[in-house]
Amino acid sequence: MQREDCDILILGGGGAALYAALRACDANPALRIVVASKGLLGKSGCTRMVQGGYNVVLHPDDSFEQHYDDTLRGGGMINDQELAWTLVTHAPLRIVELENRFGCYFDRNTDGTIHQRALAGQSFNRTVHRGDLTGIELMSRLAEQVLVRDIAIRNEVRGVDLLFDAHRERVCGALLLDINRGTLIAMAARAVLLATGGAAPLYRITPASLEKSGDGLAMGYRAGAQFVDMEMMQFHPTGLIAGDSVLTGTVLEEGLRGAGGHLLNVHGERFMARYDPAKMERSTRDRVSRSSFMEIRAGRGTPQGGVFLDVRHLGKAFLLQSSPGMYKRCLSVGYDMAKDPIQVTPTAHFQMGGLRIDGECRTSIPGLYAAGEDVGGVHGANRLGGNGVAESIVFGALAGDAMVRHLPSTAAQPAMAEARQAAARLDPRDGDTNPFALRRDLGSVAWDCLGIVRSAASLAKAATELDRIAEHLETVAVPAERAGDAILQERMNIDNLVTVARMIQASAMLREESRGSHYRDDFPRTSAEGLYNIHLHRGGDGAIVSERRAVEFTRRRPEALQGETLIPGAQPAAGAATLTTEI
Amino acid sequence: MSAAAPTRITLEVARSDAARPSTFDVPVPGPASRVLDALLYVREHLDPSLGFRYACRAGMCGACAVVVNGRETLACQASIGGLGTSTVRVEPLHALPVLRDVMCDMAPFFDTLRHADAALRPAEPERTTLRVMPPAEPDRALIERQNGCITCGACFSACEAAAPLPEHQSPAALNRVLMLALDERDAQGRRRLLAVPRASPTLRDASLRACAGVCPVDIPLQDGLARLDALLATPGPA
Repeated sequence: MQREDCDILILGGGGAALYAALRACDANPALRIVVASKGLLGKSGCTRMVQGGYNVVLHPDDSFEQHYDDTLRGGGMINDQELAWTLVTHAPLRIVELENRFGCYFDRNTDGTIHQRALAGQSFNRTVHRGDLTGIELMSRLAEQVLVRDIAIRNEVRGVDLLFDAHRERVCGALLLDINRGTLIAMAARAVLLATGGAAPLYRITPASLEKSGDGLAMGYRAGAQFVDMEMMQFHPTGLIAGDSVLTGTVLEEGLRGAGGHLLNVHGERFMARYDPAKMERSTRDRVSRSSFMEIRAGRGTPQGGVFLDVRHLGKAFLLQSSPGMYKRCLSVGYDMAKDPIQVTPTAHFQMGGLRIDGECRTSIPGLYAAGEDVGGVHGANRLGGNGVAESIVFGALAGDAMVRHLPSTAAQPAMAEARQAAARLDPRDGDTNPFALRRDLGSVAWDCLGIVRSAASLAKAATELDRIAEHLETVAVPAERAGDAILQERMNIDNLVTVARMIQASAMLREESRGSHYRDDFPRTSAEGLYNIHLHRGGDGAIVSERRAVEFTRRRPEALQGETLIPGAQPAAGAATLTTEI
Repeated sequence: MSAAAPTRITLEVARSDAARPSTFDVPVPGPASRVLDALLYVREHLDPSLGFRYACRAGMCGACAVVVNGRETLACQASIGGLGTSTVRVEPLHALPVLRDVMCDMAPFFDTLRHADAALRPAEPERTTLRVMPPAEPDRALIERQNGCITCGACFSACEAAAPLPEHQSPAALNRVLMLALDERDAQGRRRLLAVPRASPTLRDASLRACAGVCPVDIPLQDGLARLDALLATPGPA
């Protein structure tokens, strides 16, 4: 095992991680900053895959209050009200910085002012975007800014576990694994940021970047950090079905439904009439996903286990003009959107739950910070389109600033005995279980038992099945030669995903109602008593300790915000015309 | 889609360890099947030691660039049916150190971007308002035509295979320099052109032209390089 030192260690390679690195470096260029990314610089994580855009209040007719209320309403009123307020009020600062300091260029109106559109659940056109590939612009610009700074990039290096000081009071580094070389590195750091992303790839069908496996969440759990809202996992209703290809699950943006696309079951019925006759296909993500799931479960799904998204009536010219990227993607897997109904399925999209943080991204453990999808509370029970990447950027920046501000003056001294203990989990062992088959097994368990529709019975089954998978995992070999070994990587991925799955299971069991993305068919109603968050952490005996805690309504009372919003249609809703703005 | 998509292919993979198997019989379950699916099939069912890289599998991250049947492409985008061959050969990108099988060390390619200082040096880093930047303004329109690079390295590989590029140069880096030189927000702007070696035949060299058509996100690199040529021919870019 190698021993290395730095000042700030950032685990992750997406928007939150890189933004934190840039802010910390610019605040104090003398700091030794290490970014350990499971993939390559700028190519890892889900910021890169953002299609929709970044929600931000810029127009004088829009307001922080409106964005805030939309966010709380979308979140089923259980958001952390202070974090959500931070999201809304910091978003404009960061969009200006993204353009003026880091070189992003977002879509403009013809007069050169910034263009904003609306995604689901918004009362105003406030999404800044770059076509339908916003994430590429963001990540390309952030990655090149990192590249030209004195920031140490460790590509294809993953976190194994967090390291503590001798008193086990403070996180002061992490044990890292260099995936290609197979070497273990005990990296001492005066502050550590977890920004490795969520665990949507736990599920059989997901659009998320597939290298992600909830590593930061699992490391945080093993370290004893506090979590919130872990039952909340968002499913996007229109994931592409592309047979057995890995393309299955990638998202077709919701603008296609907004523009008038129909969802049909195998009998050709617009089944949303059964579930939400007023809003039909323009209903919210959670409701449309659930409706599709119910149709499929009732035996009315397509041959490939989905439903049809039918946009043929919108016409080829419109489709090519409004969704060129989606048109191309569909064509490449055999659907001409103008001629063929497309088979789609709900797809595990975004984890709302995560580590509990304060307003400066500090977790419950001194020295340990979290940002981006690793964090819970900002979005409550359901995230609005466009708020995810805004969260990554806003809280990535806050984390970078806070780590510099609170950096202890003394060098970190991780307890090496503990590092060796963590490393021992990767000691060679025999076994003959195929981890890739086990991973598919896990994906199906999560999909069936922890997915879109849950019940006490499915959750009890999940607990048993997760124990079985964890037991099986012990029979996956660990090779003596770790360098580049895919079996070891998958073994570690499954280990972390099972850890996250158990948190989801425990939280889902405790929430005996339905709210946002969490639906229990044994408790199908949203309860007036349900305005709580589920907090959990790892207890002294290793078991999950969970409890309900009432939401703190520091800024808005729930009764002040009633009603729901539609996803925007081809015709903008009143008061949401295409806007031009300059701040 | 190709109606005649094969149901099985022979996958030939360039292995860095010659002792490892390099030919695999792989099923092609449907018209959507990609080269990446075939590589994953080998890893999961036949040989877990096969080294390759991928992440987003949606053509957005550029991590899975390889050479398929002699041409640079993204493994996640290359449809097996579209290739029209019953044998599919996968090789690593050219001119980059091979880490394992078809996975390269991308550092030399990233170094071309670092060497070109390929990032905005902001003229007004503390500005608190968004600029008015009309998309039809000629420089901006040109920047936007050249934008969207996913730094996959395909252009670098194609050029280097044709003839060695000058040290620290890649079409991707030159393309980014062009964009920044024209960007009104950049503190250096056209002064960036001074750093591009004028005496070098680089830009007119046939090797660079070899990148034509390999860009998986269809950036018109040839147009960009021609424009850079023209700007360099203009005296006194500062």
